[in-house]
Amino acid sequence: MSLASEEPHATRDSDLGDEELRARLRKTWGTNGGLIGFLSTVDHKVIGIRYAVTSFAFLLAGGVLALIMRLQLARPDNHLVGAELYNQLFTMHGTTMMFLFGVPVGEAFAIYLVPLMVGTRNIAFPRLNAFSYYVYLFGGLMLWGGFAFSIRPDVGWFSYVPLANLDFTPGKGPDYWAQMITFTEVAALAVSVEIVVTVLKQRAPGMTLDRIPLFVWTMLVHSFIIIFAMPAVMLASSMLIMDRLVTTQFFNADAGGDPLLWQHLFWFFGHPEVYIIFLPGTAFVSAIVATFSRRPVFGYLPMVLSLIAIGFLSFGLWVHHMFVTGLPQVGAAFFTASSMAIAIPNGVQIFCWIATLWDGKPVLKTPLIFVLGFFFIFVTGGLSGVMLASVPIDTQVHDTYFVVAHFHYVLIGGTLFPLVGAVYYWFPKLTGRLMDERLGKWQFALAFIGFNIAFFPMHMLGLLGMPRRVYTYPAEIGWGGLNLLASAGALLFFASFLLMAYNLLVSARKGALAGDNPWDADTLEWATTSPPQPQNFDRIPCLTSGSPLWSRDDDQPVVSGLKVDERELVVTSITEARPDIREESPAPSIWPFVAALATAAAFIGSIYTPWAITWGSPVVALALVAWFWPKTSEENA
Amino acid sequence: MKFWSVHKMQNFEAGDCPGHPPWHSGRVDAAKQKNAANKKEGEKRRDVEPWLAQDPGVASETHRFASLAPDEHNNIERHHTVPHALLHLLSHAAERARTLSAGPISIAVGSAALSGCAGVQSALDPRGEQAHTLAVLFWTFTAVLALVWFLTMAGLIFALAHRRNRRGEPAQPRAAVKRPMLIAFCVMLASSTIILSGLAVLSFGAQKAIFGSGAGAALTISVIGHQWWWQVRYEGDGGFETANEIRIPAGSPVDIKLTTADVIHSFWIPSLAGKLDLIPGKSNELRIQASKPGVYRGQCAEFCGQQHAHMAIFVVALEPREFERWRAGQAAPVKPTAHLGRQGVFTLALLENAQ
Repeated sequence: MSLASEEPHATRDSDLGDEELRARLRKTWGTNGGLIGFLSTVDHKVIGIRYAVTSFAFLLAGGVLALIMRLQLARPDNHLVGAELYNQLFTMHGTTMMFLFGVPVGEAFAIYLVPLMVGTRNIAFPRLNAFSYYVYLFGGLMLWGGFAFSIRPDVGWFSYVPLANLDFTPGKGPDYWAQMITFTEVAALAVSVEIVVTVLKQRAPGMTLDRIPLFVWTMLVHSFIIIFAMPAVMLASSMLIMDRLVTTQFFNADAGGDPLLWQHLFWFFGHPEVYIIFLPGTAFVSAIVATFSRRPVFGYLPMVLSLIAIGFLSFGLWVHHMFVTGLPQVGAAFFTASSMAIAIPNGVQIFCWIATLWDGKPVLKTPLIFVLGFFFIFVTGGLSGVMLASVPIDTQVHDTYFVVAHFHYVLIGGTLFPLVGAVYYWFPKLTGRLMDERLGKWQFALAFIGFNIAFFPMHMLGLLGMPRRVYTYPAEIGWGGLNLLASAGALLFFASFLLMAYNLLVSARKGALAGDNPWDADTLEWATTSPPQPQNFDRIPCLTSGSPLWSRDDDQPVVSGLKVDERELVVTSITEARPDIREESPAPSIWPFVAALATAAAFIGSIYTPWAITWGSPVVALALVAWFWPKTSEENA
Repeated sequence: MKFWSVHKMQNFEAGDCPGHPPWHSGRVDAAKQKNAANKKEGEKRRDVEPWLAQDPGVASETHRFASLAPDEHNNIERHHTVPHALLHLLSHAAERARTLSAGPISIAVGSAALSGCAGVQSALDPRGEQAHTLAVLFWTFTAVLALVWFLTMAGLIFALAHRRNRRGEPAQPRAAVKRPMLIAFCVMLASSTIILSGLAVLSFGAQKAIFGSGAGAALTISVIGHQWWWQVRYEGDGGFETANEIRIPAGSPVDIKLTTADVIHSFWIPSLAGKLDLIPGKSNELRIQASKPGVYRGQCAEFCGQQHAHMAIFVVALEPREFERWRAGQAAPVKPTAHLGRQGVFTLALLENAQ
């Protein structure tokens, strides 16, 4: 397939041999050294790894907070931490895990893997990608910097009003929380737009809609959910900060506002948020199950339809977080039905994965073992979720440890276990070295046992009447034994992550060499070197099937005719992925970093004075002008 | 006024289940400060304690109830209807499983559950009509969903066991879709739809039974949430107030009107009914009913600030006759001469304020 047209002077890939082509492309697509080069990079792989490392650092921080809370609750009437600090701890734990780990870590994998899987050279809007990372980083640093300097939000990761109003929570804690939301949402929205465009317009020729890997389909749906859900919480957090800063009265019942408005807006985002965090987990499961069953996932069409159904249904469930606010019963009952309905597409997915294992010949390597843990834990959490969908049952277990158990089963089981599997699975692609299998299996044993000991007793605690977010409880009430058990399990679970950190560090240096495709997987990221070259692929592949690396053919067709000395991509049509045009991809630039810095200064300043927005906007605008300053190219000249 | 000590009632200290909270005294420093701010308002409220001390008859009767062994009590209460019997069976089976199963985990779990003071604050130990309906619904869901879980896990384990890998097997890029798998898929889809619909219908039924508008209750009590205590107001002629404690007549439904003076709280007495929020600018109504006299603990279930953990409340269900006597006693003018102890000082202060 040749895209060469007029312009005879530019060097094209068809003119060069393999060796020289690789060297020239490396030079074109590479990142410069030095601090400026480091901050200017627009390589999706570099930024993806930065996202992943940052989010794992926040995972560790959030995990330490959880551990302190578990130590406090291990004994009744414990005095390890006081009420004030405990409230700060669970607020920071929830906020960190949801906004600084759960959402970004899914994006990290999408940023790194989606361009490789669809066979392109960089993500769409790569400068926006760099910008999004810095905004996310600054948001996280702001929240934790505030925490270090005793500006600590303590009203929960949900910041219900009026408790989060100025009257009841003076100080800057909730403002930092609300602005952190703004930061991470800006970042998440940017990444989502990039992923959607990359998937729809930059797929390798021949990757028709029905040949898109399930991983990529999942990330596409995930991105659409972010695009429609996140604006609700940005709106809500902006209203909250305006109530606190410039005395608007959105949530003040006395002035005609409504505290329930906050809950509607927050949960309209909050429930899709659960799927924003969970869907990357299913993406990992689809990839790992297919590879280690030695066959493509059973039921491609039902899988894709289920994903899309989950995407839509996730917007129709939010009221089940508000069943005990005294809403009209008929309305609440509708949300019982819709909440139960989402179990059906999830059930379809579970069935298809198990059927794949059934029909395939499973190879029990660490990534698959973590996915088996996922089945055990996630199905448990999913079924307790069906209980929570029922209005009457919810009136008993809402805001108790039963719910804490439920969503840790869903989020840790649904996302964290596949995520650890995914780290073992893609680590060789990132570093060229395999992780240690034996340590991996030990880690699984520790994590699986620790997790269940930590969280299963919480179901019972909730039913025995223990509410969430209590910093202590009286000995006479008899929750001590189960809490001690949960705390012991939490220690084991935490230890499993220390083991993982050790494995990562050792394997990155001394692991066995992996080669291009150590698992004999079928998707395109395994068609390139490990770690991949800056240009991802020397020659862009053309697909003739949905499992390109499993076709017995040695002769794979490739695209030819792309310029070698400029960053050029193939843009294809949305449904059939027919080659459409060659498009130039933006080069590295320092301006996204500067723009992120200016944005951060404006956001943080706005916590203290609304004038920060007024004075910050022109600075951001200037950075954007420099960012988008047109380059004179031969096509424009 | 020390709100945190009003629960030290002698009738509940007896028995093997000391559920009343000596833990309140002396530990809740911040809450105390807050309460000190409310002191003036608080002093107008009548303490429920002196009455109990004055009326040995009632105290001893409640005492007798409290010292019943939990199982004996269950037997009296639970065999009236089929669902109750089912519930009884299920909870018994669960208990037996707990005590029989070996291993350190189950022993710890079992002992924790047994020491769990079942009557005080547990959704699994229903003592009222709504809580019964809820517990039956809960156990039905649990049974059905546990079955689904076991089927799924059996499928998974069989999938792994029946054809283990022989090393180096090449992958099948175009695996045929076999007929049995298609049939299994359809069966899965149909059965999960049917199961979920069935559960939804059960849920709707229970919802209607619990929240359906019955006849108005004979008694309506207002509960006003404060950071971090409960103001309880008995309306009507000779209305009066208590704090952190609601007395109700056993056997008859009581409507609780829920409002808040500050932030959102949630009113929850697990052994009597599900929870309902107290939201600024809104008034919610919850019906509770205790089948038998007894003391039922609850606590705020919506995070409401620093001392959320200590915002407990007790519902004391009395025999209707005794309840009326207590109510009349509360509504009657206070006789300051009866006990000039600590309470005497408060009642004097109350009289002064009234003038």
